[in-house]
Amino acid sequence: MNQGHQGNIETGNGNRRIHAVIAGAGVSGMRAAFDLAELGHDVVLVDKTPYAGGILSKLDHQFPDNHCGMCQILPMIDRDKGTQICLRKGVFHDHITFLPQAEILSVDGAPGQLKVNISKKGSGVDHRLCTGCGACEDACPISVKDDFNENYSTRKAVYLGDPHQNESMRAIDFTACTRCGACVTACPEGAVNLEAPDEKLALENVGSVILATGTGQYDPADSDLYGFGVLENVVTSQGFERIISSSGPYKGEFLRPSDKKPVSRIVWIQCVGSRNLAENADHCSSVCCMFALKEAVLAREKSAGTVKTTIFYMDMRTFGRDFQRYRDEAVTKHGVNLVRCRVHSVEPGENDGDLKISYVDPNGQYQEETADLVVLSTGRKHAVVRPDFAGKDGVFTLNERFEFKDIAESLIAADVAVGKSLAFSKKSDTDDDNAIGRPVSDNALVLGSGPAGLSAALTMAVAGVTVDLVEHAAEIGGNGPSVTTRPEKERFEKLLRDVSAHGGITVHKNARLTVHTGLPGAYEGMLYVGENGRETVRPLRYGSLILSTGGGIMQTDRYGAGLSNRIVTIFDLDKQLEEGTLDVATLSDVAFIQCAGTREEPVNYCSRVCCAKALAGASAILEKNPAAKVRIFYRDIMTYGESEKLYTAARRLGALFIPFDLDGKPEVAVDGGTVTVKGFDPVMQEAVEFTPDLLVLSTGLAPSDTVDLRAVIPVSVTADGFLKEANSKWRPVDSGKEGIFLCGLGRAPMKAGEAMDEGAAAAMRALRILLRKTLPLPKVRAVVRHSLCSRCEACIPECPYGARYLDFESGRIMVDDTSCQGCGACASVCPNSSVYVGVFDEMKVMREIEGFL
Amino acid sequence: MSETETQIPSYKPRIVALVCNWCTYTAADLAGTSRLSYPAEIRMVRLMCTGMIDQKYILKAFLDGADGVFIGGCHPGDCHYLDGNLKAERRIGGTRNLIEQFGFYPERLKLQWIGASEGPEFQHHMTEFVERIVAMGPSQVRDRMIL
Repeated sequence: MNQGHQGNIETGNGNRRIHAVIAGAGVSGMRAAFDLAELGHDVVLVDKTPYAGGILSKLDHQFPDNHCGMCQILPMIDRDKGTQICLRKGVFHDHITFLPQAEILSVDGAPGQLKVNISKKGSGVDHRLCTGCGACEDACPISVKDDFNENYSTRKAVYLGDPHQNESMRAIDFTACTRCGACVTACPEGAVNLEAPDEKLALENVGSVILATGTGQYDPADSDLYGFGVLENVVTSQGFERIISSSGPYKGEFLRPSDKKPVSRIVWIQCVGSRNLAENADHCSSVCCMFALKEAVLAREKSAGTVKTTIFYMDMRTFGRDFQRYRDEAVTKHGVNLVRCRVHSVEPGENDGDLKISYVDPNGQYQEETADLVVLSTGRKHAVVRPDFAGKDGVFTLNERFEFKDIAESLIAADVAVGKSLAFSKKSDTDDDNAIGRPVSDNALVLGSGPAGLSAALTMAVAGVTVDLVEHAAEIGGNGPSVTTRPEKERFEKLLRDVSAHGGITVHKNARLTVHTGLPGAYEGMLYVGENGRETVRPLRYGSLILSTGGGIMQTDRYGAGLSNRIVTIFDLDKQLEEGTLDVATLSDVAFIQCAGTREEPVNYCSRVCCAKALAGASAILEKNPAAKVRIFYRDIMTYGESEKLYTAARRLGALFIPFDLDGKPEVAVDGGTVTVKGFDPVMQEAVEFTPDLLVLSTGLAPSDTVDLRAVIPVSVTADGFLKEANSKWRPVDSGKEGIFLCGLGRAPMKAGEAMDEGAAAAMRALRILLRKTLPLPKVRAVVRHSLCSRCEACIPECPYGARYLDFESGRIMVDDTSCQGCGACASVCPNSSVYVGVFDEMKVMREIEGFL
Repeated sequence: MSETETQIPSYKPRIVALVCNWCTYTAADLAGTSRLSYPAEIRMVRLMCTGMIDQKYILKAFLDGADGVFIGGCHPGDCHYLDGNLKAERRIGGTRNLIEQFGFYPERLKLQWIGASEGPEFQHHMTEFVERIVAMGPSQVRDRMIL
């Protein structure tokens, strides 16, 4: 529970060694800190703000399920080292020293022996004395705009940075404070000190530095396009989040800032500051489409459907695995109105405070709409200044390109960096490994050897555990050899070489797992190997299991697929262009059809790779043969992040883009050697009909069939057959069953680079177990009183973590102490009260109730 | 005695709130730090999850003289333990029937989802529940029942 005090940090000379200094206590910084803390490594977490949580502390609900759940990233192993409490209250863990209002000044030396200088602003409040009574705040005469609420409310000069935060974490805003001394007099504990100087900390012998400083949000005041800063009811997306929040400026009432009147019409404008060549912003900010949809859905839900919501967008980029269905539900179930267009301007409306939005609708007609509130979906900052030590050895940057990432991607990036930091491991001499508990095997099993599986295997092998890598095919590599994008291709080839050369990795080809049993940290399995007509069975022991079962190309029979050799898939074209086997010069007319069979039921997800491949292919054809006509039929071009540049390039080269929706799909007819494509071009408002030399179908990706595997391993799949993670936001590579992790194309559609990152992240999660000698016993856990247990087994299906099982040898109901998280679901179903959960013993709760009455 | 006192018997209800550690307890905390006042009649028992609430706890509270029992948990989908709150909802539906058989009005038992950031909602629901119980009057059954 080291909160903000220098006195708690040993500077490397004592028995506590600092494994890493993590800059940025947003979701990825916290994840990195918790992962390392779970391994027993001491870390220092610094943040510029007075609170932890970053952007997420301002959001109450996150897409794609509108739930909260930050607490899901708390350590699950050795929980007693930290506090089991909502993360909005703060980061509390024995191995984590959190320094608010602090920044890294410099990093010197070699990795493993880094010297890190930190400056920490004086908070003015001694947190060891503060009881959180708030008398200082009552006494303070200064009132300033509250930046936590995006300036829609005011706060005092002595304040809680985040209203949810632990109440003793108040700080003084010395830029606003007049040093009047009212708070000093008011404080009954004498905790306020207006002379609090800034502190300088010099940490020595630090293993590594992890930069999780995130990225900035674009400030729409920079461009006066939509009147932000002038028209009060034009707000940013983060401003909107605060406005609808219960802890926000209007206490959850849905009001507009100018006159505090109830809101009844809201408009979202997408791509503000992104996808804008005039501002040199040739990138997509990736997450804005989803958060606009989420905000619109929340507005509809909160107002019981009375608020009218319209989103003006260019392409609705719902490229995550479950995002397309979320979008469909937003429209069909919640009644969110989507309009594809670029809004021209926002002006004051007829009535005071109203806003007039003028735009040209998809049919080319000029339209006006009036709204109470206009929300600008502001993207990421165009450029963020990186500290000069960012490129140093031993300094790992999470977000090198300053992209916006959703929660899952941020956590994966954090895990990847943590995995790299293990090379400079600094373990304190703590009692973690001597804790009483189950011994752990230091061998890992990876099923599937595509980019994700190889990356997982190598990450674990480098960290010092042995790996059994199992591949059911005759060669390892999975889809890796078909990767054509750079630098992913080089990265994969290097990975393949490194895995083959690493002595700690044993490769089993033509093999599959037929038996899997045991507990996390100590699994046992049987491997069936069928090689050269010989069949062998090998027993395996492993502490963790990683499933990287992969996938392949989606098959479709739509749009004349397979009826003509002029019709190919995007993957065929990609291969032909890479190998140079396509005679581009002879092509005069090429057509692409995107989402050929995907993003509609029953295959209702985006495959993420096709748009970028189609645009790269179109550009390659046009570069070599500028006379060719290239038409791309699309629904939404999903070039998220930096791949937006491919879209711009293809447009510049003259590719024609023809949007369609599910009611107006292009039609393909095959007659002998001729392929005819018919469609409707809404831009020209006319039907098009032509006979391309080549028709390319973007058929998408599909997961491998895992039916046989799931008979052996307790994991579940989504409606589309992807392996299902414990939580798509907060635990993206955990299976829900401790010790089993998921990654790669088998979990969700993704690019090869993303799969390799996810493999490394899954490996890091597995290393939390594998690098321990024992798994400790937590205090709050379910314990069975066997003398009272009647073996009715009612508790077994009730456990959300699958921690309960019937032990055939002893005939008793047992609890796996590592998987058990102490929720008590088993205790409340037990008819005999044979279960008690740590300190929440039935008798104790009863006595507490008795005492109250 | 004044007229108002004879019309409204001065009685302070005794209300037990069983709340989950992750959401409702945090919301109560937030209500506290935000200086939102709520009736002092609420006595809060913190549990890790509403899913660990045994029907016995609710019965015990009523039989020991509670005038109302309030159960606060995370919104569906927000549960730290995935679905403990949904298990609680299922169980408390049954408990309502059970307490009715014991002679208590089922309205004396309330289940409410209150998220961690919903301090004002916590205040609102607590105030509303206390008002409801005050309007119902003290639990009579305790006096009539021989246990």
